[in-house]
Amino acid sequence: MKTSRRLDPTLHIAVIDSSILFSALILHFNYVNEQLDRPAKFVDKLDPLLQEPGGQETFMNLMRSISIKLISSHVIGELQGLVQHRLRLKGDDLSNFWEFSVELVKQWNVDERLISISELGADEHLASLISLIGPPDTGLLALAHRNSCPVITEDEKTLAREAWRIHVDCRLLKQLMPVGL
Amino acid sequence: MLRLLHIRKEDSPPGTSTTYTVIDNGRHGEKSGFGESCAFTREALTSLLSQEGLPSSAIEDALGELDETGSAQIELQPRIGPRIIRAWFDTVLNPLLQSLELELKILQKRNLTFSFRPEKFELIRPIRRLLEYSVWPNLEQIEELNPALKEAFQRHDKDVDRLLDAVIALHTALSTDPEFTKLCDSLLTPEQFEELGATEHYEVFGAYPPSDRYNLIAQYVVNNPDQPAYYSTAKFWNRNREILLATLQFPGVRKRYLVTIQMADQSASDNRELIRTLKDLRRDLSFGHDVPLTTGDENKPAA
Repeated sequence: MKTSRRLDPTLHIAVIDSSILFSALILHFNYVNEQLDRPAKFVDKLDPLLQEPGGQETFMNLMRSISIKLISSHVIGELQGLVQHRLRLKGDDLSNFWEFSVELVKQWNVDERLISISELGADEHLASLISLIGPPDTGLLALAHRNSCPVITEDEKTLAREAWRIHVDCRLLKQLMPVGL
Repeated sequence: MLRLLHIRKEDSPPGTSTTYTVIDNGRHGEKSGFGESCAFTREALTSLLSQEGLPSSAIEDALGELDETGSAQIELQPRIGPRIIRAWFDTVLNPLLQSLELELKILQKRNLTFSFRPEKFELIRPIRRLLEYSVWPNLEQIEELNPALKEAFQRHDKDVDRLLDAVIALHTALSTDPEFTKLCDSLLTPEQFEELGATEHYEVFGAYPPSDRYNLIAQYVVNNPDQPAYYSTAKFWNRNREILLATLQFPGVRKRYLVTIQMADQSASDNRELIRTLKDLRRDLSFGHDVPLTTGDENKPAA
């Protein structure tokens, strides 16, 4: 029997970490490719929870169900690095990946906010985090704090640990996905 | 690059035929080092020089020089070697074939991947846009040696332009057609939203603003896509797909639609021909130069 450990099935607003958005973009890339009779790629790059069709569908529907998905512009900046270094896409495949990604970001109305380094540096608590977890993760915590909403991530060791330490609501992907898929 | 043939006449015992040692320097485009050395009879040497495109008079001169001095040097056109072929395969021919085969599938499915802003196809592009900028010189080298292929590439790019023009005209005809906009409005009432389980515009159309609604719906009609369930627009599109596709038969739209189909068929036909030409070229180069079509790891992702 499946038992659900989902903490909040109807997250209205959440900050999305780059690893989560990256997983969604890979799954969408695969979906479009499969529609065109091309093989799915990079499944091994995904969290084990997302390597099976059931988990993939649940994840994409979960993402879809979050009405307001907030990201910082740092997240978009990190994506290109992830695409090039982890997927090594190039040429036509790279163009296609971004074409599909832009459409998914539009479909999901992903709300990209600028959190400047100056803003982070001006906050005593956040400034001390910059050197610990880097500006992108610090920006996500600032965004979550500012909007009183959780951060969703796969990064338990750095982002989640620091979020919990400073009492920012942080949900790990494995906490949001039903167990036993 | 210079390709030199060094020929030396060997001493032969009386009563035996004369042999010639030929060193083909730069046969594969090497800049330095020893070339390949082979022994030829006079007839075989004449035949070799003729095959390399040397005029008869130049062949006679070379043989005369060999008889007189015992050696000769002849400059020949550089031959395309396996390293160049490998680069062509990996950077141009294989990626192009992959992209063109994908393009053909899209044309056959008639999901043209048109986007109204900017007005373009997501997955149908001119030849150069299918390749990385850094490999364009290889493409230009291939075009230089294959004028017919260059023309086929130009034909492909013209097809893309013409098809895009046709689709833009169809999209404009649809999105500005009063019957079409009236139908869209009737599908976007608060009651219809409620049936879709939505209250806000963004729940149905994502980041597309309300002012884009006719353009976006017309885009879907033009492309007729299968939308994944996780798309914001999926519920609306799947629910109203049939009635919206019927708008392609509206009097002010039908003619544009037929032109688009005609252009898509023409593009598919030219695309098929181009794929065949590229595969023939690739096969000939592979067998002619003993170069495998692929080494199998061009797109291997990082571990």
